[in-house]
Amino acid sequence: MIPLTKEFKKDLPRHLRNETVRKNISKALDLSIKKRNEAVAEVADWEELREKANRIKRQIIDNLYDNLNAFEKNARKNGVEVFRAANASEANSIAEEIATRHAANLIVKSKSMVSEEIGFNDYMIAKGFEVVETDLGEFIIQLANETPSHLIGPAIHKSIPEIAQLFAEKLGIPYSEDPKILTETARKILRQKFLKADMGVTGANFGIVENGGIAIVENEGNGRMCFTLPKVHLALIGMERLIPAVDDLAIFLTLLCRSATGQRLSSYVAMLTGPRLTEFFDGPKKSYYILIDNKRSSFLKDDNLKQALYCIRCSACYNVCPVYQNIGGHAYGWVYQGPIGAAITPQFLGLENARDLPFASSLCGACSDVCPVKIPLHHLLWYQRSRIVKELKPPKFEKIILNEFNKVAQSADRFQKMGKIARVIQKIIPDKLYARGWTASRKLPGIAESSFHDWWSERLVKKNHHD
Amino acid sequence: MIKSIKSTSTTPLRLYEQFESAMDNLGGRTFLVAEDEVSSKLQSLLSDTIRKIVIYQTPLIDRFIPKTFPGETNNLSVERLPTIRPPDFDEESYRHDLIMADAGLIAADYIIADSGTVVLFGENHRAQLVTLLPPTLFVLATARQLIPDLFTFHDLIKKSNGHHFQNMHYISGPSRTSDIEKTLILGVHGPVELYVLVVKE
Repeated sequence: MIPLTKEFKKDLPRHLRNETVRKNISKALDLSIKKRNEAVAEVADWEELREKANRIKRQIIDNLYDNLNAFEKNARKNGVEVFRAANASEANSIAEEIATRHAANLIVKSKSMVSEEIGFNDYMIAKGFEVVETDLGEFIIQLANETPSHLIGPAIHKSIPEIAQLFAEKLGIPYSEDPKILTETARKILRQKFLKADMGVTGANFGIVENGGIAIVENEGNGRMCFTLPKVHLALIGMERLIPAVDDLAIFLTLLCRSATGQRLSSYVAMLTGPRLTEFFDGPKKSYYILIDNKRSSFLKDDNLKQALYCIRCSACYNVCPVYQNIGGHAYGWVYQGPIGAAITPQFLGLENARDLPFASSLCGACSDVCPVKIPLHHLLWYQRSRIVKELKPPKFEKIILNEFNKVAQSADRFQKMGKIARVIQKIIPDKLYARGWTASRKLPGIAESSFHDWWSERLVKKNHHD
Repeated sequence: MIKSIKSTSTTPLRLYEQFESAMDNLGGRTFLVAEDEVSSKLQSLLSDTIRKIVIYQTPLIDRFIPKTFPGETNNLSVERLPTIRPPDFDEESYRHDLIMADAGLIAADYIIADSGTVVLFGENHRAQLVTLLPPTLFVLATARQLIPDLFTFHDLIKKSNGHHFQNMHYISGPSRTSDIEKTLILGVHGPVELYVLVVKE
């Protein structure tokens, strides 16, 4: 997708004014947070699990290239053909080559964030392949020609009437606001696609180093269809998604499912190790992995930012973020949204192109508190802000003002004098002239009539006088 | 032993009750049946809408469901799959049977009480479409296969050197979605209904 992150500030008022989207989102998020909190409360040692997961991910990320080599070696032993892609365009051309090799005209696809990141659908469709999103939320989004606005619920910004209208228009069914009928319609259409598809594309929630397998977590069963029915399975895997062993699934599934949807386990979790064996009745005849770097190596070079690679894409930080709750996912302008998106997008797209995102936070820390793998999210946001200020030149005016303030604030005498001058100025010059950015939506609080310093001195004089 | 989940149930009956309540929350149904009642219970659950069932014939199924099931009087059509894919396996007709089937029956390797999960690996996971394409899924398990939680399960397969299995599937309840305004709908792509028969041993 074309990043709109540069327009973040400009587009904000439009997103804030969109009452429908805000209503749809807040309804969905309230429920998600409630369910998450209940599910987390059931686990006595949740905090210990978070610590443990954080340690495991740190070990993986600190030795990521070694782990990737081991994972790849084990996957090859299982008969999986493994590719590495340095960037989005490499990943897409490898996928194209695989699809061409198998004459895969119809591709069914389950939800994968890395596929959104590399623009897989647009690329493959432009090359003449039919790519069908099969997760219900993604199916709705694809029909509407939109992009996901949430990691777990890609269509949470849409209301039932909007979806009903969309289905009636695009699928030719009678208008119905019954979610059951809408779901049934999608089931029927997609079932035929699954049965006819030549290739299934999925992401991977976890890559398991010790056996080269991947774990895929889902609720609908569309993922299972994608990696069971077509003769070819292709998994697009962000290279940071590794965990050491099959046993680690117990910890990571507990953390992921409860954080994401408040379920003890998602309906379907599969661990796949490769193409169908001779005793199997079904499963793909050929399995491929594409391990995708696409800027992840640049995170590894920064001790702060590499912690962002621990992320298991649960969306808990989206749900609790007061900024996300008010602006929704699309406002962020790219694939990754909410606090994690605001922290990592500048790395993916360049500081310059996403310079406003790390500032879209109150730094309240709610994201860090819920993160199941203990990524210090609000610290990362603060860190990105400091990089932006250091590496990109802040607006000249801002720099002059701050430099001057720096001088003023260093001396009590100058500070008081400045205060006196400001008190006069605010009466003469309207605040609209010097603080339009602020006054457009809020009142600028004025400087108090008398300073604390003056008030205190006056009080001391009075007191001494009485004594 | 496992701290991670507040699981205190240890007796098979307590575990069963926990499994039942978890399945209930997920929209599945659970039955505790005696060894000699398995066939009749299954028969009673086969509603009029179920005309065709595909059975993945693994040893556990052999033990509790006679080859003569469902008997002469019933007009139910039954397709049986052998444990291992035969050399003359016809994939097209396998698929066709499952597309047309109203129900599938498969045996579990373990069932997890806390999360209401059916675990398939080893010999029980080779015919995935049985658990995926028909709108109703029946699972046969025994009370001995009940395990408190995910952590206990992973400890167990670690000890039994279970890492040699090929694939593994956890199935917790029917297929579900909440993608339309968070409204829960069962059976979006996979089974709409899930029944687990747990045999008392």
